[in-house]
Amino acid sequence: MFLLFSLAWCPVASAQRTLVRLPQAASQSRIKHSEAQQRDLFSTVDNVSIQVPGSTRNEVGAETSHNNVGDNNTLVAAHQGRDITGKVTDEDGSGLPGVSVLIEGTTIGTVTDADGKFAINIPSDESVLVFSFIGYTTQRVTVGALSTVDVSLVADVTKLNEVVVMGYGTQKKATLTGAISVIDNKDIVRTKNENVLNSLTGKLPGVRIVQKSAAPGAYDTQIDIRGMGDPLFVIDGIVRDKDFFSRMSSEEVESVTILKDGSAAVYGLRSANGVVVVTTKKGIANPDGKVDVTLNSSTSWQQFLYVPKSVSAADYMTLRNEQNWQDFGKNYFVRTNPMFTDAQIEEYRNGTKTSYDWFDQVFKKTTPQSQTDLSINGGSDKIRYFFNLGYSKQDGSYKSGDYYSSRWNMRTNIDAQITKRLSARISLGAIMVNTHQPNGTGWSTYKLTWLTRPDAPFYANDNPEYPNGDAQLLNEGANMIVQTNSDYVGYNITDDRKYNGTLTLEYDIPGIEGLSAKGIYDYSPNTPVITSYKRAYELYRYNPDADTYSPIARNTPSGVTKTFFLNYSTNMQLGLHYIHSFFNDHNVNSFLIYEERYNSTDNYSLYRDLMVDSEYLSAGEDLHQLATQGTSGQVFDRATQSLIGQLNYDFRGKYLFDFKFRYDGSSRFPAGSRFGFFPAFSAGWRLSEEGFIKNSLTFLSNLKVRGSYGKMADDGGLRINYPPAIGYSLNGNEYGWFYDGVLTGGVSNTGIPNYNLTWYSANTYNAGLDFGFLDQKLTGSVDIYKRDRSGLLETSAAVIPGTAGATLPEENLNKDRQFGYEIALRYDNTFKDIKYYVSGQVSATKNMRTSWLETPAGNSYDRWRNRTSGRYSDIWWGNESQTQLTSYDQIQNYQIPLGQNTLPGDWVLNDWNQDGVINDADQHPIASVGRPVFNYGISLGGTWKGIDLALDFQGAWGVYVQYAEVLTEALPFGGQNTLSYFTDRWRPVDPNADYFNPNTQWVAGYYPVTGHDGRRTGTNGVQNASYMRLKTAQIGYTLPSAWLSKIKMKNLRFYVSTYNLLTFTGLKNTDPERPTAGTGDAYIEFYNYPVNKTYTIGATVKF
Amino acid sequence: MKKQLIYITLFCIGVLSCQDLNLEPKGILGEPELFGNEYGVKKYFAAIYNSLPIEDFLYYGTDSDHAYRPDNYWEQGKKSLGNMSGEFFNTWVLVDNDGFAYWPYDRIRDVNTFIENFPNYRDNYTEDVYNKLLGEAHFLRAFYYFGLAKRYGGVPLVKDVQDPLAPKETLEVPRNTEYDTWKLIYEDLTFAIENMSANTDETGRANKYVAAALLSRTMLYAGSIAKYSQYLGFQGEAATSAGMAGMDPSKADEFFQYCVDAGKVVEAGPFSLYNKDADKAKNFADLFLDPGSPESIFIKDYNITTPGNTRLRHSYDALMSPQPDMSSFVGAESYPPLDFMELYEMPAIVNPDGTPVRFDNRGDIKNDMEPRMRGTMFFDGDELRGKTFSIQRGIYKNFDGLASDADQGSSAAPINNADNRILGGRGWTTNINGVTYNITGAHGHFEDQGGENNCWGSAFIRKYVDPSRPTSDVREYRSDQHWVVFRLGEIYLNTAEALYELGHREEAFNYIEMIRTRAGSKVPRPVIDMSSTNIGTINKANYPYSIEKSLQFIRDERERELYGENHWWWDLRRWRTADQVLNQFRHRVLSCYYVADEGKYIYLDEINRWNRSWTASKQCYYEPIPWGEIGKNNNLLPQNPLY
Repeated sequence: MFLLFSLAWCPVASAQRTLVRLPQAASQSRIKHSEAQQRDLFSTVDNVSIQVPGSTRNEVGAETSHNNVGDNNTLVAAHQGRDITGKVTDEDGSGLPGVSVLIEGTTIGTVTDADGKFAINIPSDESVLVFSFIGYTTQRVTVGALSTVDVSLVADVTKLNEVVVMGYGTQKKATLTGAISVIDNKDIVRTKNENVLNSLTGKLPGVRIVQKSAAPGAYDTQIDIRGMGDPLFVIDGIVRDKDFFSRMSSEEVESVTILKDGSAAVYGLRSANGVVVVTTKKGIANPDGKVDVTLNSSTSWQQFLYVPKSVSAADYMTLRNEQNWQDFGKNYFVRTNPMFTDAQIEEYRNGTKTSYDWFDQVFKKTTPQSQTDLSINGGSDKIRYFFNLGYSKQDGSYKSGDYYSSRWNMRTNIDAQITKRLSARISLGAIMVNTHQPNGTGWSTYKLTWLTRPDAPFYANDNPEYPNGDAQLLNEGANMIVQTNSDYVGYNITDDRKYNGTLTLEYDIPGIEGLSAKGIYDYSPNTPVITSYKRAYELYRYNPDADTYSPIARNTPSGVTKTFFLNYSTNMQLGLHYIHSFFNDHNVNSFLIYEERYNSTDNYSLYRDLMVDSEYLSAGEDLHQLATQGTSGQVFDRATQSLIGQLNYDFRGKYLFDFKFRYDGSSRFPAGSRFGFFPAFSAGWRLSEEGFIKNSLTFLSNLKVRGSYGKMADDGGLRINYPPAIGYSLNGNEYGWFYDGVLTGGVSNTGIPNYNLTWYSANTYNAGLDFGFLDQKLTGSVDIYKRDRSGLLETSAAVIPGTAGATLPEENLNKDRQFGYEIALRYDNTFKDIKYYVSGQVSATKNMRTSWLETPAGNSYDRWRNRTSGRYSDIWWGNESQTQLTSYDQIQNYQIPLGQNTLPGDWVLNDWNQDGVINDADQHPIASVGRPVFNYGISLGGTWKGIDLALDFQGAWGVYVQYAEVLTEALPFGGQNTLSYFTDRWRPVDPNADYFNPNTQWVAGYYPVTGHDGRRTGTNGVQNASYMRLKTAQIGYTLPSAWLSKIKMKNLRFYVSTYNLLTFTGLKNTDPERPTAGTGDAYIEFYNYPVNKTYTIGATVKF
Repeated sequence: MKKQLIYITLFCIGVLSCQDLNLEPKGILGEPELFGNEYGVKKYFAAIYNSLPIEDFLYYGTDSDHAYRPDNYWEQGKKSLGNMSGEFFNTWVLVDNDGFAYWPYDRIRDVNTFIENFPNYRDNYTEDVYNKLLGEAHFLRAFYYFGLAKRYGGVPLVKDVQDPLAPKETLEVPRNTEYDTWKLIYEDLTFAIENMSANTDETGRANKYVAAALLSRTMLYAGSIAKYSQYLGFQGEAATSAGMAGMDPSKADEFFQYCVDAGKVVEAGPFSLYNKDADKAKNFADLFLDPGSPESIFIKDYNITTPGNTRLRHSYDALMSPQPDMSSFVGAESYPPLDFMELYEMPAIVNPDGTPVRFDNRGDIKNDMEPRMRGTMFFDGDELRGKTFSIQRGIYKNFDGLASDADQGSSAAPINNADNRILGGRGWTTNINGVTYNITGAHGHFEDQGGENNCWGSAFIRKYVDPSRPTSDVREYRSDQHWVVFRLGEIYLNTAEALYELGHREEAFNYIEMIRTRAGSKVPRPVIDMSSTNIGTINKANYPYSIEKSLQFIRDERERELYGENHWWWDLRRWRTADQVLNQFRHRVLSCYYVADEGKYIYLDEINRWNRSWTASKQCYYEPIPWGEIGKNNNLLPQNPLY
C-alpha cells in the first residue's frame, strides 16, 4: 500500500519537471549561521582552507595544517600573472559576500567583499576559478581572456554538505550513519501556528505529530518518533521538555534534528524514545558590520473544525418522545405518557415559540490570533549576538472573550571571542505564557453546551437580568453563557514562567591541534503560578405561577486558590573535544564529556474562602483556609551523573564509522543498579565516492548505505522518585481520619522494595540507504528499524495472589518491540526562472508485546481472547454488525433469539462462533486500534520572480476509532439535547404509533430508533479516521531588492498563509487528528477544545 | 594566557564537586517513627480506618471500581445502596450485587504488619496503652474480614505478613470455611474487647464498646446465615461439603448467643437512646445530627476542607433536597416509596368503603403519623431551610369512585383520562370552571421530567439531612455531618432479634419496647404472636421458610428504625429473603391529588410512573470470588454457588 502511495506522487513530480526553477529568496540562505557550517566549508573545498569573515577558533585550529593562510581576512595570492575582478551574485542578482574564490589546483584564493566583488591575481589564462559558498553549488570558470568574471551562484539543494547538530556535537550530513532527520528554520516558519511543534507536522519522516486541541495556552500537541512514546527534548545541548519547546517562538529556532535510532544513545537514560535536538539561532558577523533587524508580524483568524450542533426544540421533543416510546419495559403493561404533547411540539413548529441556539450564544465562529517577532542579529569577529523578542496572542472561542492566552518570548545568544583561544557563549531565554480562562470551564464546555436543551431560555422568562438556571432544563444546572463568562464565575489564570541561563566556555588547548575543552553550565527555573478565583453567583428559575424568580446559588462560597510551583534544574557539562584530519584522509571527530544534572520540584497551594466580593487571597477568611503541599510523588529531586564519549572516524568521507557511549547513573535507582553503559555503533559506506560508481554511473550523485545499533534506556516510566526503601509515604491527600474531630493525615506503605530495580533498556537496530540522482535533483532515503525493549516495568500483581496484600514492587519484567520503515523522497528542479520542489515521506510502525507477564489463562479460549503476550498490540476486538432488520417479519423469523425490545431499524450482530447465541463470545479481531498503519507528508512549493508558494500535506492511513457519548448516542445522559445528525433515524410514520405493534409502518433512516444503539456496536461502531490534511498553504511575495534599497530596506516579504485549510477524511463529526494516541485506545476526544483552521496575513521586514 | 588557564582550571575544579546520587527521599517515614509512639500509631491507623468497609454517604455499591472510592462521588445519591435495594426510589439503579471484587488484603496486610512488628516497640508504652493499640489492630482486622465474609462467605484467613517474593505455593492460600471466617471475626473482636479501654472520649476511634458493637452486628449476621442458608437449596461443593458458602444450622445459636453477649457489653457502656427533645419527630431526626448524641457508639466524621480524595466530605444534603429552594445543586435524587411508609403507623388513605379518604390539607397526611416516620421523612407542609415542602401530583376534576378505580395511576383507567385527571409540569396551571389552579406542588410531582429534583411520591428523605446548612451552601461536596457507624438503637435491635431467635421472646421485646417508646409509637409493646407465616411485609414476599409473626415484627421494626442507614440490603441477604422481596418489586408511591369539585385532597397508592421493577437473583447471597484471583490461585476454588 505504501509503495503504491509513494509511487503515486512520483509521476506528479516528473510531470512538473517542465516547470521552471525559481530563484531562492535572496536573504534566506545567503549566509549560513553556524560556525559549524563554516567549518564544513573547509572540508568541502579540497585541500584548501580559507578564512572567511566571522569564522572562529575552530577554523583557526584547522587551518594551521595548511599553508599560506594568514590570520586576517584577506587573500593570499601569488605575485605574477594578471589581475581579474568580478562580482558574485545570487540568483536575484544581489551581491554575495564571503564567497571563496580559488584558483584550482593551488591554494591561492580570496573572498568576496560585502558587495560580492572580488579581485584576484591569476597565474595564467588556463587558470580555473572555483567559486564556492555554503548553501550554493560550487562553480568553476576557466578565465581565458576575460578580465572580468561575473558569476551567479545557484543555491545548492543537495544539502549533503550541511552540518547537522547531533548530541553534544555536529556532523556533516554526508557522513552521517544514523537515522536522522533535520528541518531548518525556513521549513518550520512557513507553517504559522502558536505551537512550534505543529509547524513540524508532516515534514519529518518517522515523526508523528498530532494536535489534539487549539485551546489557548494549552499547547496540546503530541509527538512521537517511530511510534515510540514521548521523546527527549534537548535544546542547545540542555535537556528540557516538550512544554518548553512547544512554547518557543519558531523565529528563534535555527534547526531541529531528530535522532531516531542508536544515535540517540548518546543521551543515555531517557533516550529510548528518540531525541529531538533543537538549536537556536546565533549571532552572525556581517562583513560590513551592519546589523540585521528583522520584524515578522502576522495576524490570523481562527475558525474551529468539526463542531457539530444540536437539534432545535421541535426535533428535540420529537426525538425525546421516540426515546420514551421505544422503552419496552416502560410501555409493556400500560403505555406511559409522551414526554411532550403534540400541542407543545406544535408551538415550536408554527413559530409560537422559538428554540434557543445555545451554541451560537456561547461560541464565536471566528476569533483572532497574532504573532510578532523582532530579531536583531549582528556582530563583529570578536562578539556576535542574536536577540529575539516575540509576542503572540491567541483568543479562544468563547463569545464572552474570557478565554485567551498571550505569550512573550525572549532570547539572547551572545558569542564572544575573549582571547584568541578562549571563547564564551551566553544564552538567556525566557518564556512567559499567561492563560486566562473562566473558572470551572474546561473540557466540559462543549459537552454541556451541546447538551443544553433547545427549549431552555438563555434568561429566566427571557429577562436578561436573570440568567436562567432551571435545573430541569439545563444539564447539571449549568448555564453555559454564564459559565463561560468570568464576570460571573471568576477565572483561572495560569502564569507559566520558564527561564534559562546558559554559559559556555570553550578553550583551544595549545600544543595539540584540534583539541579543545568546553564547559557548560545551565540553570533553568520554571515557576508557574496558577490563580483560581471561584466566584459565587446566582442563576434564576422563573416561577410562572407566581411570576417570581427563585435564585439558585452557584459556586458558593467564593474562594481563591493560588498554587505555586518551584521547579528548577541545573546542568553542567565538562568536556574535551578532538577534531582533526590526518593526512587529509583520516577524519576524526571525538569527544569525552562529564555531565551532571539535577532537578528539584516543589509546590504549595493556598486557599481561602472569600466572603467579600474580592479576588485576592489577602481578602479571604481565616476559617477553612488551607495550605497544602503535594505529597511525595509531587515533591522530589533527582540527579544524574554521566560520562559521554564519541569516536567518529571517516576515511575520505567514504568509509564511515561511529562509536558513541554513555555511562549514566541516576539517583532514582538503588546504588547497585544505578549505573549503566549505553553504547552505540554505526557504520556507513558512501558508494558514490567509489571510482566504479563515480565514473560509470554518473547519474548517481550520492549513494550511501548505513547501519546502526544502539542500546538506550529510559527511567521515565518509573513510579518512584527515589530508590526503593521500606517506609511509609505521607499520604494525607488520599487517606485521613477524624479522631475526635481532628483530621489526621494517613500514610501508605511504600511497598515491597525491589533492590534490583533498574531502567528498562532498548536495543535499536536501523539500516538505511541514502541516495541522490541527477545531480541531487532527486534525493531520498529509506530506513528500516526495529527496537526491542526489555525490562519494562511492571508489578507481578498479575501472578501474585492478592491475599498477600503487598503493594508489589515494580520489576523489570516485560518486553516489547517496535518496528517499521520510513521512506523520504525529494525532487528539486529549476525551469527557467521557476524553481520548485516536491517532497514526500511515509512511515509505518507497529508494536508488539514480545513477552508479557499475565495471569495464566484459564483455558485456550481465555488465552486466545484475553492474553496479549506475543501479539501485536493494536488488535481491536469486537462483534461484527451483521444485518439491519427492516421489518417485524424479519425480527419474528430471525433464527437466533433477539431481545424483546428489538424494532425495525435495529442491527443484529453476527453469531461468529455459530453457537446459536449472540454475545461477547462472538468477539474477534475486527480492526486495528491505536496508531495509524502509516503516516505521511507531502510538501510542494516553488518560487518565481519573488513569488513563493508552499503547500504541506500531512496524513495518516489505516487508523480506526470509535465514537462515544454525545457523538454516538442520541439524547445521552438521560435525555439531554442531541446532535443534529441523529434526526436521520428510523421512526414510525405515525409518531404516536405503538412501536411494538407489527402493523406499525416505518420510515427508514441511518440511525436505528432513537434510544437504540445499533450504530455504535460491532463493526458499525468502527470509524475509519484516515485523513489527509493541507496543514499549510502559503503564498508570499518578496519585493525586488532594487526597490527596497531605495527605502533602505534589505528585504520585505508579504504572505498569506493558512493552517489546516483542507481536510480529506471519511470521519464525520469530529476531527481526525484528535483520536487518543495511546495504543489500544479506540476512543476519540471530542469534548475538549477543538482544533482550528487559521487564515493568516503577515509581513517580514528586514532592515 | 597561562593565568587564564589557571583560572579556568580552578573554576572547573570548584564546580566539579560531584553531584551526590544518594538523595534523601522527601516525604517518607520509617516504621519506628510510626510504631514507636502513640501518635505515630494513630497516623498509621488513619489510612486503615479510612478504608474500613463502612457503607456511608459515599458508598457506591453498584459501581464496579469505585464502591468505596468513587471518583465522581456526588453521584452516590443516585447509585446508593438504598436506591439499589428498593429502599429509596429513583429512576437510576437496578438491583445487583455490589460485585466490585472487594479484596482488601492490602489493608489486612497493614494490620498484620502492625500486629507482627508492634511487639518490638513494647518498651515505649505502658501496658494499658500497648494493649489498647494491639486490641485496636484486631478490631480493624475483624472489620475488614466482616466486609469479606458478608460478601463471599468463607475467604482465606491471612493472619501474618506474607513475603510476596516467597515461593508461590506458600502464597496460594486456600479458602477457609464460612464458619471459620466468622469465628476469626469473633476471636479478633473478643481479643479487642478484652484489651481495649472503656474510655469513650475520643469519637471516631475504636474502644471496647465499638468492638462489642461490631461483634453484635457480625454475630447476628453469622447466626442468620447459619440458620437460613439451608433454605436456599444451594448445591455444589462450596455450599455443601466444603462449607464455604453457608453454615450448618446447628451453629446458629452459638452466634446468636455471641450477639446477645456482645450487646450486654455495649449496654454496660455510657450510652443511652437519644431523648433530648420532647418533639419525638425532631428528636429522632436530631439523633443523627447531634455530635454529642449519647446514642452514637462509633461515628465517621467529615469536613468540607479535607482533600477530595480522602472521601471525607460528602454531598448528602444536596442530593436529598429540592433545588433551588433547599439545595443549590441538581436537587433531590431519592424519595421514600409507599411500601416502606406503610411499615409505620400512618393515617389510612382509603376508607373502609373503598373510597379515598378526603383531607382538607395535603399536610393532614401527617396527622396521626408515627413521630419516627416524620423524623425519617419530610411531608408536605414541613419546613426545611426556611422553605416549606409543597408536593402534589395533579388534579382530579372529580373523583366519584373507589380508590381502586384509579388503578394505581394507570393512564388507561377511565377516571384517569386526560380530561379528568390533570397532570403537568412545574408551574403549570389549569383553569377549571373559571378558577386557576396550580397543577403540581412546587417540589413535584412533574409529569415532564424524570426523577431528578422531582418528588415522585409524597415525601422527601429527612434522616441525616442537615437543616442548619444554608441553601446557598447545599452543594456537592459541601456536606460534612457525621455518619453513625454504630448506635445503641441498632444494638438493641440486634440483641432483640438474636434473643428472639434463641427463644427468649419476652426479653427480646423489652428491647423493642425501648425502641418504640422513643419512636413515639402508639403501641410500644405489641403482644407476642407466635403464629407463623411465610409472607413478608414488603412486596408481600413469599419467604422460603416460615417464621413467627413477632419475629417478622422485629424484622420490620429494624427497618422502621434503621431506614436509610444502609442496613436493609444486607439484612435481606442474611435473612435469605432478598430474591423473594425483590422479585419483580415495583415501587408503589403515595400520590397526592386535589379534587377540584370538592376542594379536598386525596392520597392514592400508585405504581411508580416509569413502571420500573426491581429483581434480585439468588446469586446475590454470595458474590463470586474474584475470577482474577482464582486465576492466580486455584486454591480459592470451589467458586461460590451459581457462578
